[in-house]
Amino acid sequence: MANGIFETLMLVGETLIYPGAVFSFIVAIFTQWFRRKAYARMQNRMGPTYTGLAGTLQPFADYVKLFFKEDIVIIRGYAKLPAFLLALAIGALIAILLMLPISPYSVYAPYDIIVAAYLLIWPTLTLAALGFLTPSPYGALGSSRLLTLTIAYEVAFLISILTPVVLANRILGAQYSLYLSSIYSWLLWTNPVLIPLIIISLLTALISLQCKLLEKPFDIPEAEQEIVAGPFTEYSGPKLAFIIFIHDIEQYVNSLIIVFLFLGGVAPFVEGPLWAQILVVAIKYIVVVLVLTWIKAMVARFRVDQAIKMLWKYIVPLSLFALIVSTVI
Amino acid sequence: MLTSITEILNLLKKYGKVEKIHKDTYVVEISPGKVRELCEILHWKLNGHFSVTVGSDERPVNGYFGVYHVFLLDKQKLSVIVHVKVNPVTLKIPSITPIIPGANWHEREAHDFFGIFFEEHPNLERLILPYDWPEGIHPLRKDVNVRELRYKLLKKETGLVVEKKAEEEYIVPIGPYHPALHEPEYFELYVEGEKIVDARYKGFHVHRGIEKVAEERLTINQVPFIAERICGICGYTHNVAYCQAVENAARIDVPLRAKYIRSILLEIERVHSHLLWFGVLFHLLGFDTGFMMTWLVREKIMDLAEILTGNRKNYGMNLVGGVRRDINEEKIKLSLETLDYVEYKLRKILDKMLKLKEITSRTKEIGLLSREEARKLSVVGPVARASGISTDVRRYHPYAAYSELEFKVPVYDAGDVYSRALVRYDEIFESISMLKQLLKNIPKGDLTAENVKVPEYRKGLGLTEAPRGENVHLVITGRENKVYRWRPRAPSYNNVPSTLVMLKGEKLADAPAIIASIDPCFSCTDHVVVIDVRTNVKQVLRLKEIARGK
Repeated sequence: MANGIFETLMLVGETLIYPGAVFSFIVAIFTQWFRRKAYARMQNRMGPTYTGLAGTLQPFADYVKLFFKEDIVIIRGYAKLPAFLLALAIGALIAILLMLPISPYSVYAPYDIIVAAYLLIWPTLTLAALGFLTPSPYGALGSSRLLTLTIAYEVAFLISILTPVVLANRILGAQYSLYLSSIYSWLLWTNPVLIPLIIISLLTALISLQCKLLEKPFDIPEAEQEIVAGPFTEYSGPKLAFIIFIHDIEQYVNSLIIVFLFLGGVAPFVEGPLWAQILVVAIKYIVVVLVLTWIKAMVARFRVDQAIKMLWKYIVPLSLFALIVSTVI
Repeated sequence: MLTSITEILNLLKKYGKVEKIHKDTYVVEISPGKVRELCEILHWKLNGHFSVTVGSDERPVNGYFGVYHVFLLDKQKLSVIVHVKVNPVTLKIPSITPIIPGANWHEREAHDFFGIFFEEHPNLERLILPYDWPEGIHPLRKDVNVRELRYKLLKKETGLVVEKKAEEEYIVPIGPYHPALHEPEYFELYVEGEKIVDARYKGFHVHRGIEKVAEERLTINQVPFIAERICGICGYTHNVAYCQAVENAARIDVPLRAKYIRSILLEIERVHSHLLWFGVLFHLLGFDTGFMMTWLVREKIMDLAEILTGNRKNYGMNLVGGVRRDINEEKIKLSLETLDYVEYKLRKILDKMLKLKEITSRTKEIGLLSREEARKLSVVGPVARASGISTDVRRYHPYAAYSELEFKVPVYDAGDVYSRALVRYDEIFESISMLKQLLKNIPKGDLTAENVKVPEYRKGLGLTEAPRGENVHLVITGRENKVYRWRPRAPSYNNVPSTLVMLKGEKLADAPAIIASIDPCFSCTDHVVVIDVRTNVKQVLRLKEIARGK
């Protein structure tokens, strides 16, 4: 029974500290700073400069400012329900972290990719619900746009991440587990037949992730120039801080999934020292974030019909093709 | 088809007394019964266009109210002002809105400010005065004193004013404050899903009453500085238009060097305004990188303005009769270098950006304004030129130094947002080429005319081509070095009503780009619309009541 208590303590510690709440807060601050800085430099701007070294603490300052503001509850709005939904989304994202090799004591079981898929959809549902919980027309419009997009990009993203999982199971016996697939996925790159499949699903995963993160060209639900901030228009103070936190942590978790499933995780240092493994994962993570930022700086926003058309016409069929081939191969 | 000037003058003489007020500008004084007939001929048959309606209280001078309809005949290079005397007791004249829908706002404004009734006007509601303004006070009448007005407004107690029942469709408000448009205005979009089925507009949130201030408190040479503050982007063009109106009225000859300097600054203003517009368009389409890049180049133009005048905005360069500061050789050399750099940079940036698929797919065939609609609403400037109407004050009613320049007037037929962008794209490079011609050929000479004396009760019309379209100032000079009546008509006044036509049937996502495509220039706000969710009745609150915690 002692083993059981140890396990529980480990899991609690992981949830709260590493790689859970505290660590993801640090990563969220870094990621947000990195995206802002890179985006600004791509546009000939300075980006954050004043707070901390090269502005690294600017996102932290923003969070602190928002956390200590008054929590304004609008008439005909809800006080506790949004908070509950926000907590649920953050919980779901942290639970996925426990299933990745990044955590020292990982949770896994056969077919747990289904659990991961379920948890990945939670943040989206939370954000959509937030808009419908306010009487603002901008909120309702933003949420309906978000749900319209969801039926396209969530499908594409799930199919895309299924491809390496299916391949890992068929060839390496990973039992459809996110953890095992992540550990063995680098072996897929050693087989030249599989490389095109991985690259195709990597591309579709990156594009649908951009949509999942509501970044350009898919920032339609929160298009500032049309519907102010969409679902988040009426939220301020701590709730807004948590909305931004969800965005950052979603970026962190999903980019890590891409790093582990598609880019081989710790790849050249599978047997190597721990610091080298950490460094490799960090570099791959930064590359993924940089690519997403680069897409953001390069394009203008789609209209909702154009985005749906693009996703269903190109991204979903491509990812589906990769998945079908990977089941047959 | 009448073409020659004498034929047109003969035609005008049939209707009433014709008087030449200055070069190419005629006032024809007619009786109210003939207004519609003549306006129809001028706007539709002679292919001119309706420009502005000016109301005026001339009871101290001749015992009547006056209404002036200004028409510009581009082909014949003529301006015709139709003057109608309005009986001060009945205060009624026929409306021309049924013939020229573009006159709608102009007549409502005259109704607000002078209490003149336009018979058979389809919708003679308040346009500029706030909803809670007391009935029967018409602020621009000469017997209304600013001080008395303030006293009356402070004393009155008005409660909530119920405006209108909101309709069944879902309303998406854009304004009075909205991140897309950086000035206060209020668009109400009625949407079904993502489609806009109808739109309504309420503007003039803070009408600053510049006309009244100028007429009561300022002298003729002080007005240019307040005229420059009409617009935050293209103020100088108002300044020039006012000065030209007074110069025309007083028949002052402006030295050629001053005219060149005016043209140089007007073109600099046009380039920076168009670049600003491109930045805003890219921003509204969600292409922030484009926004940052165009504004980086625009900064060079702003620096240029600062070098030449000492200010980035509000140059303060004009006086009636000339300009206040000179430009030396060193500055000319620096300007030419900057222009070369800007031209090179812009070709590179804008060429690429206008070809981006996300930009073209969201601007082509969107916000359509057909040629007929454009003629009906009498739109001006790039909006008209994008709908296939070749109109440009610089070409057809030359002022300042424009008669000595070579330039093209870009015209596109598609009438969509993309062609409005193309018109402005072409105009930027035309302006740069004009600037080079002006800077290279600027003659030596005086800066101001000598003996500037302004006789009383003379009319003058000042026309300029602002970045947003033709800008018309009608001035009637007064006694003691004052202005008797000054009516500036900014180009957006004619262009804004056309957005309601463009918006119908479009997607909500395209609304900001469509509204911005006319490059609107609004003003500041002082009351708020509250929609009661339960009863669906809209109410207009005054700031005082909000402060009371209503």
